[in-house]
Amino acid sequence: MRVFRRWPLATVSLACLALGAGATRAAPPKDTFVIAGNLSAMITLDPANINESITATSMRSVCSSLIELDDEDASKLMPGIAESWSVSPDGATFTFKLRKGVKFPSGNPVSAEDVAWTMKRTLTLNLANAQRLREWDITAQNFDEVVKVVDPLTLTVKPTRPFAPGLFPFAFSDFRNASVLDRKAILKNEVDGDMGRKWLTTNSACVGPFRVAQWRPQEILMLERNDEYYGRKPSMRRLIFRHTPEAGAQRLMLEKGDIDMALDIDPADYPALEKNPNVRLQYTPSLQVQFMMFNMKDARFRNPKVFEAFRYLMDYDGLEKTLLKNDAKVRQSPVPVGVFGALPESFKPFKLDLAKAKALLAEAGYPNGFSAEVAVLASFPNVDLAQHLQGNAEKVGVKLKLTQMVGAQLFQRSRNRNFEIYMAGYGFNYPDANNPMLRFAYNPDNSDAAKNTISIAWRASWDPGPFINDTIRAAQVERDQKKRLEMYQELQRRYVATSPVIPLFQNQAVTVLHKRVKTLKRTLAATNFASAEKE
Amino acid sequence: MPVDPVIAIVGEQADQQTYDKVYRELGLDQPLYAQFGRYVASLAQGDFGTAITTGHPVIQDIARVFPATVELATLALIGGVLLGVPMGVIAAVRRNGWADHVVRFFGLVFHSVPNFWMGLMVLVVFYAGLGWIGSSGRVSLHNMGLVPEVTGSILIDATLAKDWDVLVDALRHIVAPALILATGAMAYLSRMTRSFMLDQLGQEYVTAARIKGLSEWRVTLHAFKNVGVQLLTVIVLAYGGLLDGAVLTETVFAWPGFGQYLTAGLMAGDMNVVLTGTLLVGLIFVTLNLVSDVLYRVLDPRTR
Repeated sequence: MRVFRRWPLATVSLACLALGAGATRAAPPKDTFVIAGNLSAMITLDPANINESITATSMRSVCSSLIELDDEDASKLMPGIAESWSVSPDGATFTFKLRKGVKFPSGNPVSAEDVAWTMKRTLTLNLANAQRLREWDITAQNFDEVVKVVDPLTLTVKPTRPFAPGLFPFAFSDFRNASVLDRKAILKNEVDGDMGRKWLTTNSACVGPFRVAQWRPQEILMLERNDEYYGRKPSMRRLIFRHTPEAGAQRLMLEKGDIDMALDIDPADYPALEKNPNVRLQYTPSLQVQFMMFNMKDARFRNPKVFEAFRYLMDYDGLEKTLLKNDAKVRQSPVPVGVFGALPESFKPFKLDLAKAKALLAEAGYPNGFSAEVAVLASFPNVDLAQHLQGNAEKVGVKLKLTQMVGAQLFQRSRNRNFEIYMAGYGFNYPDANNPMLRFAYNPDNSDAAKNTISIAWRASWDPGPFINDTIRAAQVERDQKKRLEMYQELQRRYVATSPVIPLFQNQAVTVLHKRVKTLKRTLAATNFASAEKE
Repeated sequence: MPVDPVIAIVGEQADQQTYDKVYRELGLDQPLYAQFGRYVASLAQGDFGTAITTGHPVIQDIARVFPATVELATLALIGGVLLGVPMGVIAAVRRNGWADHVVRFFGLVFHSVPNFWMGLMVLVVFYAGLGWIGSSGRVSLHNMGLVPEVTGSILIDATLAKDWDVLVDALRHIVAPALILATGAMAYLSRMTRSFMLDQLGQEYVTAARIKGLSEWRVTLHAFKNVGVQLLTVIVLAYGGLLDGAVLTETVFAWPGFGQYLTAGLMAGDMNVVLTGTLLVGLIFVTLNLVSDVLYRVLDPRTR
């Protein structure tokens, strides 16, 4: 019995001793950049099918696009695989000149034919990012008329409408619809004429500063420097994305120095990390806005006074100072600050005003309020913002019930127009007001049958009327940048006066780094891992 | 389905045209019985479908993740048995004594404390604080892919390759999740052992043995032999529970196992993963039950 009594403790201590004896630190080598993140949403490496932020973030370093956004100021366009582009005098045709001598990792040369094939593939297979081309009226049907290969290094694009020269290049600035795929290598791996769809799910054939060395789903994505890349040579030889689903574990690994960057730190941990001398936090404005919307199919929200009242139920400044701090800034226009066409940062027409909200509700015929459900994305800061709204709504007699949901559940509700009040974030694609306006304000056919599910205005069953719809289209072809800017500013003012889709905050991206990371450039649009430098 | 698998594939920002196409490709436009019929038909041909979440055939994925879970579960079970059974015996023998209270207290604590929280605390103390154990995953980054995959168990593979550095590293990574899972199994097994032993110690043959003047040690040993069979059933069931994949522990320690794979599939509405996973869990239980029945016959002469 004596043995029994003693041995559990003894064994545990022995085991600890044995393992502890070899305790070492596992800091990554100087030329390796290790990122911990939750990789479970990484379901494909096919650029045309990438929609999750984790895959977009990582694969951007593998697939460069025709045109790049400057990594200091994302609203500036820079040469990418295309070394230059120009517009014909009549504004109808855009000509892209590719760089000479660019090669795929397979050794095949990059040609204009490949660029056209890549775009056409996205449209023909109708993959997730096909809409990024259809947004510019480039479709599978008209592709051969719109995009023409002139010679191995020249490509022309003649869109159906003469898009503004200051705007149209943004159509080719995202790798998800404007990278270049190694046609020959892909066709070798084609299965039943699928244009490499199956193969590209787990393989990569792009040109970029890095190439995929290994991907084990839900475990690791390892990228290796592409030494033949035309651009600046990255100082990192390897980028490693390591699957670490738990935010707390990510924080520990960062503080311990085992990783260089953590992607999913709990915002509640920022203040503590700010105090840690081994950790550095970088705040960058992002293209994501927090918003709430009201479904105008619901009889109560057909009266604009009702959702107008809700604009006065948010303590914007108070939330920014307390809850959100560096995570988000007040933004009451759908166009984020830093984007071409945005109203100034000081544009803040609304603030908390319970009396005014109550008066508006009374005018609308609800002096005693009503009850409604808020469908809210189950993550920070959505739930916190919804709770704040709920508290203030109660003071004016409105009872809100919060229903928290994960993305794939919530988005289904909004795409089916099946909600009363809705709260989530939305990320725009490129820093020009055209994109936020198209998404939040453009809805030429408000019928259920139109199923224009990509439009947030349609999801809210809001008919913006001819002025807004027409001006958005007119601005797309306005060649005078100054005029285009004025058009967007007018659009935003009108929008704010009438829309049931109500922007609240512009999120800041928080980059959480180990202090040995000297440089990692991040803009409104994206993180540039090729810029990473360590001590 | 509450989660929309189409959105998991195309994202929130896809237009309706793309959405509809994927919807049809997944066969969601078919009536439920047709979808199920097709699934069963391909199942009969050994085709478990392709996982949305990884792009690989589900069966291939499971072959990849399952060894990691078996490795973890087996170590956890060994730990749980080695700790739990003796504790249960002590508690029964010293019924209502301080040893019993201590065992019952720890049984209750380890049964109630969420693995998730315990996992984080262990990381805080032993990884971040003392640096005794590895952080997450099965090995450190610099040891990844160094030993050839033979069995899928990194401990065995490293031993076969005689790569002791990798073996030590892998041990440092597995010890925490395995111990945490072991505490759960220990809590369960100690309580079961205690009650089985109490049952036996109250039997007349024990009284007879004591009257005959057998030492307490021999009496206990005698009684223990008789709980063996019952205990085996409980242990086998505990193993089944561990093999289902310990989702939370696997999440905290980024252990690329079955539980995590299944949860990721569930969150994305990936039906092929969920159905095959459920099937496998059922299969594990049926097999383990069979094994325990067979062992029962071997160990207990009365059942022959």
